[in-house]
Amino acid sequence: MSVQHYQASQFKQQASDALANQTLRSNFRGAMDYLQQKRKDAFSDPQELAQLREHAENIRQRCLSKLPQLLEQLEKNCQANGIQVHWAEDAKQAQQLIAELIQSQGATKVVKGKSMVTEEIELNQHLEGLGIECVESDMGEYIVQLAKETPSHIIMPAIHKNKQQVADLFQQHIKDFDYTLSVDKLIQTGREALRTKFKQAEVGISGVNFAVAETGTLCLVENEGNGRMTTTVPPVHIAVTGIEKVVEFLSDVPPLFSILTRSATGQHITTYFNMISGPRRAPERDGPNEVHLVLLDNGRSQAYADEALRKTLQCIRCGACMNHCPVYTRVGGHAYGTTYPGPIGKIISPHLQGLAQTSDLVTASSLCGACEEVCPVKIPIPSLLQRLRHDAKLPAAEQTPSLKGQASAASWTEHTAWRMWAWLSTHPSIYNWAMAVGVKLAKYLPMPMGEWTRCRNKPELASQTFHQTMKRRASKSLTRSATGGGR
Amino acid sequence: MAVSNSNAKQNIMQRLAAVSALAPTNQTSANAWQASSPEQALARFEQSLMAAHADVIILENAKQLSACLLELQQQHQWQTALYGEGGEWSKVFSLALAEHLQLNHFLQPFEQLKTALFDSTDVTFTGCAAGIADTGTLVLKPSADEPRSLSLIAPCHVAVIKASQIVDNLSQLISEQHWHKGLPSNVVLISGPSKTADIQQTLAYGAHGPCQLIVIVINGE
Ligand code: SF4
Repeated sequence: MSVQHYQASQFKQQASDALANQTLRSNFRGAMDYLQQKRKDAFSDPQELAQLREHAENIRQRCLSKLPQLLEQLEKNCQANGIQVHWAEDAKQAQQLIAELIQSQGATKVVKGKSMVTEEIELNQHLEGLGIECVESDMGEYIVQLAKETPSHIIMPAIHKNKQQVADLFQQHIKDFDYTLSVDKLIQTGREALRTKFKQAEVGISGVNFAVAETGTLCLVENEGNGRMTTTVPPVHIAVTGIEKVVEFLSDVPPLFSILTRSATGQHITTYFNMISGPRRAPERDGPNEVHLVLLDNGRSQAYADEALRKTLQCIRCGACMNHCPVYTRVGGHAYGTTYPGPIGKIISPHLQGLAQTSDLVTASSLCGACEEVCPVKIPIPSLLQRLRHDAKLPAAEQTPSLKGQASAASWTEHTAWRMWAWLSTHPSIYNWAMAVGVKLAKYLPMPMGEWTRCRNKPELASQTFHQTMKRRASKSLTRSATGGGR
Repeated sequence: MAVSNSNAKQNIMQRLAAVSALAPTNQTSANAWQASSPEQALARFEQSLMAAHADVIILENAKQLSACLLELQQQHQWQTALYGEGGEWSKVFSLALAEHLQLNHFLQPFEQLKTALFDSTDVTFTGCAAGIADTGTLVLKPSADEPRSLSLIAPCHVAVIKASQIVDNLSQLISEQHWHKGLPSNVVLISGPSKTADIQQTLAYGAHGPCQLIVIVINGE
């Protein structure tokens, strides 16, 4: 199975293609309107929202400020609970580590709950190459897996598909499927297909929403029960998470959980909140015999190294920023070519993939500020985008450590033009002369002027420069006051 | 377990340690919902669960439980059921239902019961460790007495809870029960039957877990 791959470096073309796809645009429009309204309803009291956001931001900042200690504490307490802890620096190490864990069980059948971090390391493709079947158990993920696609949203992976498209997929892939457009029946079809997989699975893989250092507990938030199935039915459970997901205290969890569900889908609470603090303990009769936790860096320590960029790691993956982003709403998730699309994708992907790959993404924002306004942990996404734009263009020698791919979008022409502008601006007589000449020559500028005139007229410059106009006005008013005019 | 992760931890920790000054953080708090009376808490618990598509039955006392279970069995025509032997209400489950359907104890390891649980169990019964009024949530602490899969695999889950077990919010529960001192291998919060809106944002129930959740609240206990 080869998954259709989009590339961050191809953003412009992918965005153009998405904009031309009417079905995709209408699927996204409908879904985003729905999610925006749901969030609005969930936070009907603005004061409560403000208080909760501030508290959630402070919790995340406190936990990040102690990240190394909390990771040590998490490891210690997980181990005391019987959870085996592993570390991976990058995607490759994580793939190998998880594959080794599976192979050491002699397992070939794996079910996986929804986990963006395993998308990030392209785990399915890696396992498939080793002859290990890894079936997505979240309904949306299962649909995109059947379609040989990647998720287009971090909360609702199949948001880009309508029910006809899902029914067509089921007809193609599920034996004896009785074609229907009833969503209830489609879900029952998925349920039955996946129940067989749960029964057969030898290993279950999940993500983690919060890892609690204080108690060595892994928390999973979900509605379907696939996460519980994945972490309860197979004899081995492997949880995979980014290192930033650790929280200090158990008491940090309720406010974060509350603001997460309400920001994501407008739900007051999700159906299941699963807290795992170890494998089956004697004399328990069910649950996995082994639980493993894989802690992944993959660029997060790069974001951590810089005080401003560190705020990126506050993210609790609610998806609200993408639901409210005018760019995401129009182009959808695949156009970004990254695991995390939308505003959060634009600020986290440069750390995961490097700025060279993602320099177009950081410019794909009108900086309207909607993402920052809805972010439950108050990540200043627009200013981080500006910072990343700056880093993509200019080598910032004074900044250490530098970002992977810094200055990758630097252009000699652009750089030289700005330097000349700077020089001109500090030499008034030459500046004034150049402007006067420029204004005279402006009417001879060629048409079209690239992107600017694609949907606009060529700007008509005034016949005089601003300085000339002001000078004339000043001399006029001087004459008037000398002659006593204007009284 | 011979899994290689040699220097990964060390390298990651080194990178994290080499950071610029960390901004000081503020201490804040957020107020969670609080009931003004036990009646208000119960009403909110019931309303929230019902809004999440669960069925809620409120009994005046524990003596009514047997009759209620029997009525449910007849109404839903359950043929096979599973419950945990050492659970708080296990004797009532057994006395009320043993003669009316095939009632099995969860005595063996899960592996031996797996097929029956997936394929031929209509309903499972459990008690609850607590309830949360704010969000209409059942708190289960699965154990050998009442294993995790009892609330997960069958198409219907019946949970029994005393009104006196209901607290206002999750934060309160965590602090009152000193959860920070250590947790069982699994704690699960359940707020309705399994659901999904993954196909065209249309809500459908019974995605993977129980399609139906019936909560019996025993008041006056
Ligand atoms: S950046 Fe904020 S709004 Fe976006 S996913 Fe993360 S927490 Fe949610």
